Amino acid sequence: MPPSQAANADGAQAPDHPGTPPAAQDDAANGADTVIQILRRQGVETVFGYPGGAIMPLYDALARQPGALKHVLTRHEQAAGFAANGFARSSGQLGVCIATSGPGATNLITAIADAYMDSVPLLVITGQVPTGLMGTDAFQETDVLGLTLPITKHSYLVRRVEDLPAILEEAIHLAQEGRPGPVWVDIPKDVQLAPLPAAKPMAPGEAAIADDVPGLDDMGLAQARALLAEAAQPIIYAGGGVVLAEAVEAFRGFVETTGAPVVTTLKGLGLLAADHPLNMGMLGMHGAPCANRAVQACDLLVVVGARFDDRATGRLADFAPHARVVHLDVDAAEVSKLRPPQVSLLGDLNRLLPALATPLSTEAWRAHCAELRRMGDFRLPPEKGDAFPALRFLRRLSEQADAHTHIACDVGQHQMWVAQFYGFPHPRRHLTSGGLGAMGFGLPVAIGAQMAHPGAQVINISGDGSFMMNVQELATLRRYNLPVKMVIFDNQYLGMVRQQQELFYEGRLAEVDLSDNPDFVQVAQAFGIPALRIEGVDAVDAAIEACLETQGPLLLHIPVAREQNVWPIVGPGMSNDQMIEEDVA
Amino acid sequence: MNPQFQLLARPADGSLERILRTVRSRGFEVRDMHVRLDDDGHRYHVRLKVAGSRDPSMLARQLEKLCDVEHLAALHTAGAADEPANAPRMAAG
Repeated sequence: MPPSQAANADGAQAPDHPGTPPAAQDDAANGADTVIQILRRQGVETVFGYPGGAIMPLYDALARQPGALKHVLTRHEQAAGFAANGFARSSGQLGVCIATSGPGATNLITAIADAYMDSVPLLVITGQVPTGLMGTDAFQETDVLGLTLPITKHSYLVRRVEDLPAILEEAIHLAQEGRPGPVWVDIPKDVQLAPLPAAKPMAPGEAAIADDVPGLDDMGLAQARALLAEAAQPIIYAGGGVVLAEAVEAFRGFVETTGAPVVTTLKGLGLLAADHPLNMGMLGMHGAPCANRAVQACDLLVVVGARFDDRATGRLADFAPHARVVHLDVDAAEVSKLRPPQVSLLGDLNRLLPALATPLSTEAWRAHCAELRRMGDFRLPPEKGDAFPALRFLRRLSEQADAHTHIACDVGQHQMWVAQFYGFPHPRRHLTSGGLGAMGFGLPVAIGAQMAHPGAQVINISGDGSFMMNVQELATLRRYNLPVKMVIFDNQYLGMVRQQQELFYEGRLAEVDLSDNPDFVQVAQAFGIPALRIEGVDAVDAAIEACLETQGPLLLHIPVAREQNVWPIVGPGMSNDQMIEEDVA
Repeated sequence: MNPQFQLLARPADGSLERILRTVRSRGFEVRDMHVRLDDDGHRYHVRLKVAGSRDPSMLARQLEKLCDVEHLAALHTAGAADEPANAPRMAAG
């Protein structure tokens, strides 16, 4: 019988392969058991996944070792990847996801690409067809190693069970060392089944693999200090690398010591309190006017854990045109990739920032920046019509929610509104797909964050387009009875695309109308999840109360004005000097 | 001018593909490439000539970052090897 005919009826994900070796003896650990033992030994307690044919030995090992790991079953492999991603982003710990070969692996791709772009530490484990069938176009065979080369920090194909322990240990280390990222381990089914002596307990320090982080560069530090001393108008441009380095406190100390004004990237939001007098806010395409103006005027840019992403810089040739650059990062490949610095400092920000910190005499510049901020911070627009005021809601939610609340966004207009109007007290509370910009991110990431922080408030702010991309995860929410709150701002459009079509494509709208959305309240209720529709200009209090006071999961469907835009905006290929603001659009 | 690099790489699954993929995706194309596996099978010796309009030191740093690449040197002229701007992670064994 051809393998494909062995597939089960509800998804063709549980075939068996001819030539599959028999299961290991009960008294002998096999490759699959070893995976679980090593995960446990490395402190992993929770994994996210979806079973299927080639990964069945690992799931069998989970069944034979109940309680060894908490396995969270999502309803799509992409959601397993995103949930592990949310677990890792919110906690700083390793996220782990598991899937089968072929479609299981390909379904993971988007979530893993997202983790790669945003440097999230993930271990991805997939089953592969047995080694004897590899390269024969076997059922559910794909070249996973080849597929994953561009979207992982590293990937492995385990050909021999003897290599499995060392590869897993190395993969777990690599995912977390230096600049974190996803590491993928593809394990053929026969390797999972092959006998292997139980992993022996490690001696203290045995698992330690030396990190390749450079020490302090005294000459570079001296040069950077000299540039700081000469600067009259310095700006600190900080990004997610500060968070990844667990250097938030060192960063805050650096800011207080230097007194230099700060702009942050999307992923750097929360590095300073939103109302900190030196916080100029988010720069870039939808950044605060004051942040962009300060950067364009500065004479020194101290870049900390940021990478000159095009959404932050606008047209690169015009970015910070008068500035000399000092670039601090752990990743040498980020230095000079887009903007050559006068001085680069490589290494651990926890060491570099205190070593570089020195008080600066730039009172006039600070006063100028304070004035820029007074004139050009994000402002709530005047209320128009009787639609629900989404921006007011976000600002009020930010003021009233517990400081430990996690906000998981999707991608689109609502994502930028959250960035603009929600004041994050810490970056890890803001879960957003920064580099990849993956719609469908929000709900599964919220699930992962809630699993990492069972007692915390987790809110998914989404749009109607994004929410539909992983709507099936309502079933996961119900299964684990997670108290995630979901807020869908429904404008019945792919709003960000619609906005850009109006502004930059002469108003020709193409395939952005979503006015045939389902009834989201009924959808949630069909999954057994309470849901409310909240409408109208006066409904902010009701929405806040529902979000913050309801026990258990809740979906809030909030119709918003169909044609509200995100302001300001820097058009594609334009300079950050050329922000388009609402009153001149 | 066609920048040239000399690399030592671990002969793991995908290591040569990673090198080639990095060259392509970072905006360069391969003009010449020679690969030899050590007699003991522990290391690839790769000599690479590329063409592209971007800064070759950027490509060097991206290649160095690959986990399989143990050493990289930029060759300015045939046989003359310089270390790239940011020192390689380890010397060849």
